[in-house]
Amino acid sequence: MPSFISNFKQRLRLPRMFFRKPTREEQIHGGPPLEFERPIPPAPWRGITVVVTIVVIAATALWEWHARSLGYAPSLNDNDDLWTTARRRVQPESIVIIGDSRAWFDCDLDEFQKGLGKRPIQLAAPGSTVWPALEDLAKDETFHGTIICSIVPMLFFAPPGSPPMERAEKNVKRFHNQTPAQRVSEQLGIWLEERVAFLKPDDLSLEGFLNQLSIANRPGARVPPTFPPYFERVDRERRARMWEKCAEPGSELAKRIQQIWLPLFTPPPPPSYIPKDVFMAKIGEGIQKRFADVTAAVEKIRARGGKIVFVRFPHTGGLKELENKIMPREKSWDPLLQMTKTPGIYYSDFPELSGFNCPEWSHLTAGDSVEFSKRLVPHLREALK
Amino acid sequence: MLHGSYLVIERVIRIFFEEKPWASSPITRVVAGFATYGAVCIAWVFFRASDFTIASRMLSGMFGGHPTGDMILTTRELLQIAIVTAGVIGMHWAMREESFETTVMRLPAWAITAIGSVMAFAIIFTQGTSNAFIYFQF
Repeated sequence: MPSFISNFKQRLRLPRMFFRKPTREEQIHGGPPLEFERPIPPAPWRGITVVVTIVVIAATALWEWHARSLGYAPSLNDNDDLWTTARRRVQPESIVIIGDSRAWFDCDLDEFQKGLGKRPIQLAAPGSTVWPALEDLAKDETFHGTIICSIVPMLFFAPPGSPPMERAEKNVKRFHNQTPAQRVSEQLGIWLEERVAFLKPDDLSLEGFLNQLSIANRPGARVPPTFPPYFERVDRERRARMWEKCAEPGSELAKRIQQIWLPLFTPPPPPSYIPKDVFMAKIGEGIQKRFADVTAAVEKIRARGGKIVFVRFPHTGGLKELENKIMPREKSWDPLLQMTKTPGIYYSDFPELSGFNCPEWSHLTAGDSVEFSKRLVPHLREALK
Repeated sequence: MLHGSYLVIERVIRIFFEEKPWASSPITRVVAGFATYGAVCIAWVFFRASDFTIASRMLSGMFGGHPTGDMILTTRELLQIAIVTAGVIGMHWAMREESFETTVMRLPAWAITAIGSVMAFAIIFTQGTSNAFIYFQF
């Protein structure tokens, strides 16, 4: 009696694609297939399939064991799809955190919920500028909630076309254009990433290993600086917590990341195809435009009843010195508050917010982020009155 | 559209030159192979670029439009591209006279198993972000 499948194939006149023994002509032919069906070369396919399956399962298990022995644990990879799942949760009156990785690491959602009465939605994105997310919320006519906006001047003023701008734009673009396939793919990805430790594309992939090869670049090559390795765990709410391996005192990983921040936060030299003074004038124009755009966006949100507060999160060591030198407070933070007429909380203005140690100079440990958030809440409440 | 144009050009060339004695000489075949490769590279620019402005800038660069451009690729990236490209062209050259099925048929079972295992594990090992496959981006 024909099986259900063969009966089905017969009725639909589907070609028999798999596991057909090739004819003698096909086996000796050597050229293109003699008919539409591609012949399956004679080989012990069943045995091969079984062995390949066993080898791949064993290699994957070994790889997972190796990743865990290095200290890696299952954690979500933050990408534009995960950002989109968070952005979808934004309601008209939500509290939303936007900005860079400092707000991403340093804000504890539980403490904010206790202190502000609502669980915030984490939309801050590492290595990104705040403008695209702020513009998106300003354009969202339904939104009249509260925005907690982190400011890191070097990222805040990132020009169009720069990596921080492109990363942020990618998130917003995905929120507006996500296809059902991407949505399903993200859910499958989350399910896997919550169970498998080696799913760390930046560190534990072929690309990650190739990036670690020390091959000298050509003299005068203008290649982007290295990005820090994996040092955070992320959950479904996009709450980032510093990896213990980076947080422990004297951590080698933290020291390595410190030295990565310095070139990453140093502005690149002007490109060779444009005179330096013209380039610097363009940068100046870009900064003024960013101030004007942000002011307009803030006014738009405020006109609908929304609120916004700017926050400068802790930074320490060589990175603090570098940031303060390149973009001092008088040229970034102060004019921003004046132009937007918006309250701001600069951590070093308050003794209870100062004194936190950032192991790699830029972010708080998971434990400190809870304490910092607890101490930040009264200031937020005051600013958002 | 580009793909269709390439097919038209190929058919026209075949009509005029296929019977010529030099048409199947090794030099002609190498030249034709690299011409096809170059044409595919041009077509791929439009897959990679986010808009026509960027595509035209990339194409201009490919034809020497940016003679004093900055060197923006790392040595590692250059090596990787060169090795992969040489490997792909080498494989195509090695298999130019026979079908994929025939090549597989000639391999011993242990070699098929080893290649299959490496390829399947490579899918896992070369993990990337979701939706990396280009056809999922339309």
